[in-house]
Amino acid sequence: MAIQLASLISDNLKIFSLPSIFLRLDDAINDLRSSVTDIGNIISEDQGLTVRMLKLANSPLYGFPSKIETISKAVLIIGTKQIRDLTLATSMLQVFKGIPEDFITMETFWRHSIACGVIARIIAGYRREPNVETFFTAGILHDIGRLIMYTKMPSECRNMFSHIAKKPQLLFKVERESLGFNHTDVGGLLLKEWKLPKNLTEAVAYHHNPDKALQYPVETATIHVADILAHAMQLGSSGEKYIPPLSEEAWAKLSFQTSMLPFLFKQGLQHVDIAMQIILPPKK
Amino acid sequence: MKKPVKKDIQIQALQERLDHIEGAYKKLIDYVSELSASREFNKYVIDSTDPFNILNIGLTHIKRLLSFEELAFYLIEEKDASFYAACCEPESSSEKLGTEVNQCIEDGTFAWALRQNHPIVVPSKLSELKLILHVLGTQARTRGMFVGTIKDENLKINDLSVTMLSITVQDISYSLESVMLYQILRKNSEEALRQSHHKLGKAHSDLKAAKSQMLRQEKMASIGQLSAGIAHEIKNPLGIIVQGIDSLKDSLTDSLLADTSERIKKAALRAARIVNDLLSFARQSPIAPEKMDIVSIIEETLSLVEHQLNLNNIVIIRRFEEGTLSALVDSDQIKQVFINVLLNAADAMRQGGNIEIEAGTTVMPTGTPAVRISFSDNGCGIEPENIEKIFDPFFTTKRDSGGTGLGLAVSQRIIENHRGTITVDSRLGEGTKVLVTLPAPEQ
Amino acid sequence: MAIITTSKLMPGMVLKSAVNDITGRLLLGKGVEICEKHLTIFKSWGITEVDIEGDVEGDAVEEDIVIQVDEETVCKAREELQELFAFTDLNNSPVTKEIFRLSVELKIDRLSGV
Repeated sequence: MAIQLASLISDNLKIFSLPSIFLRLDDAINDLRSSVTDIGNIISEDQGLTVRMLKLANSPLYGFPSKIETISKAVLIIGTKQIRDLTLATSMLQVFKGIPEDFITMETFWRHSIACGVIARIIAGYRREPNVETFFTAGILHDIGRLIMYTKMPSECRNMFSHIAKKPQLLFKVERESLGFNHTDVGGLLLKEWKLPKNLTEAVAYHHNPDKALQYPVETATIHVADILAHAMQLGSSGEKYIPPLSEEAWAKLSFQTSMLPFLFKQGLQHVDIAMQIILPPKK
Repeated sequence: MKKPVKKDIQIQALQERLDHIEGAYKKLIDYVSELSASREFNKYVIDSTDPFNILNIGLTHIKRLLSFEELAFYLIEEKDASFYAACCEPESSSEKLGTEVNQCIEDGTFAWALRQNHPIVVPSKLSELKLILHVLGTQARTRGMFVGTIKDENLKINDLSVTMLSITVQDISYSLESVMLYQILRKNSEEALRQSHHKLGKAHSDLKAAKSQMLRQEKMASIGQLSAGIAHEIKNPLGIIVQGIDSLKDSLTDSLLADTSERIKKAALRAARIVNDLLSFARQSPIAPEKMDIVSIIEETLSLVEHQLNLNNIVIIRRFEEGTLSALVDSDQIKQVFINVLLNAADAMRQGGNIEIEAGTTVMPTGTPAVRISFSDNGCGIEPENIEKIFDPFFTTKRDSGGTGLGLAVSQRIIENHRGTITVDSRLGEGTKVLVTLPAPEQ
Repeated sequence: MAIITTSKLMPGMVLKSAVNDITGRLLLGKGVEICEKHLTIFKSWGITEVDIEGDVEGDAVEEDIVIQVDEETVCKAREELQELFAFTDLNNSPVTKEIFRLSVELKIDRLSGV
């Protein structure tokens, strides 16, 4: 099984590769000599990215009281690390273009992923995390493994779906039963190959069993909870019909009061629509 | 001609790389020294218990991170949740910064910054400077806002400066949090301390009272034990003396010798009486109370002593209430008390007089039904300074006539064992009244 | 009773309910009469709506729209969601219960075309 998983990733790294603009941004931010202007310039090279960034910066997701006209101003206000993470998050759609829509439409899949990202972001903001965009990115990436599986293992996936149609089960459990691994393993391995930071990798790899996340339990707990809420709010789907069970330990780690849930629902719905508009504009 | 050009390009590239590495290295040194300075800052902040001190140190440290023109910490007024400038650098700039802050509040930037957890950079509306805002707060609670103005050219906002500023402000937030908690804790514990102080004071006086009570009882107990021991020791030689005198008396012809031996005998007998009194005082005889008619006890007592009293011209006047007056008493011991009281009364009236005995029902202060018996004489009365001592063991004004001073002490003990009361009221030259109350049996 | 946006708030109005910030921290208690300073405080904290005593005229009022929902819609929403929650610990977890409740409400809104 391990061989199958490993080859699933290694065979496909050429197809699923990180956008170069993200890699350059990451370099620039890690370079001690670069300035805000340098970073702004890199983004400006990509027209589509610039437009998306500015739309986001001016949206209720940020709720900044006045208009942000330039990318440099956006970098100042939003933060350099945050801009980098946002770049990754919004570029994912380009990375996974051309996926067959036999199992799920891309719109549905991304809606669920963006919902998870948006909700995780709200939770992180409430908890005063310094970089909420990391959570946004982790949320968008959390089910990426499924996209790879649908593309590269279609017959196995078809079997799993027919199993579930006969007898209701959680898809991620059926994945593990039939293949020996599930989409979280695939996603985690991909992010590791991409050399993304460990907090992202762990959060994706353990979002269905958050108690196993040893180094980044809070990030993982956030994605775990956000995923469940995205399901409960019926915002898109990645193929899972049923709502995954909540880990009480994970919930406890967030110190998030149950009384805040209505607010989370309300703001989550609002932000998902906006983010979808900006990141994945509807086909005309 | 290609070769040398290629080499030059290679050297050029290597040189650039070297410059890059050197520059980065220098920056790293800068940052490491900044980090170690932050450790110093942390040490100060951890030890501090004064919020304003923490804020002042914080401002000093932040100035070393970035070249601010003006900077300040705003805190939240508890009663109305408004923001006020808690400390400012330089002091004179508080008004100017205040204007900037008001502008931010008006256009919503302030409220927005309150919800982020990283430094926000916005252009100032009032000058060419840039304004940096950073919320001061922990996940639990927002505590205020850091505000600073900075020239554009000094704004080296790159990754590490931002992080350092954030870390410093967050450190301050956490210190404030623990200082506030410490202050709350202290306030609560001061209040608790005051209350426990009060309780302690009361407990102390209670303890003192209990202690003196205990001492008295101990004294009594040890006196009792000592008395019993001595009494037994003395009883033997006394017996021998009395017997010896009796056997001697028959052989004595001389009148002087006869008188002397008579006096020796009397003295011995008196000593024996003292010993008996001591013994009965020492004896912790448990009482065996029964329901008794108190009048009959009084009458039995009188039958024992009335004859002797009449010899001394003492008349007994009886005033008993109608009906049976029942009390829960050990009849032997109560008789002992009554005899004692009557003899005391007789002692006070050497020339003769009246003893009025009253008996009737009453109620104890606790509400239990009881029987009262009073003995009133018209004798010489008791000196005021002696009244409070009359129940003390060994207190007597009649030592010359053989008084042991134990009579009333024993009587008091017996009455207390019965859960009754005995009190004495006296007026010099007029007489003395002894009042005894005893609990009645439950119906 | 009226919920109005803070932009329309004027000194003299009286708070009908307490004003809290997003984390639940009490800012101003109920029954407080609004003065100039309070307007600044609301702006500092980003409060956008407050509940004030008495009626306010005209377009300053934004009332909550109450929609009549019929039994059938409620049942349908409940059933559908109950199925989806089949693998959760709905009976023992208070958090899950609350999530369920909110998701049912959301479904009802969607089915009613809100």
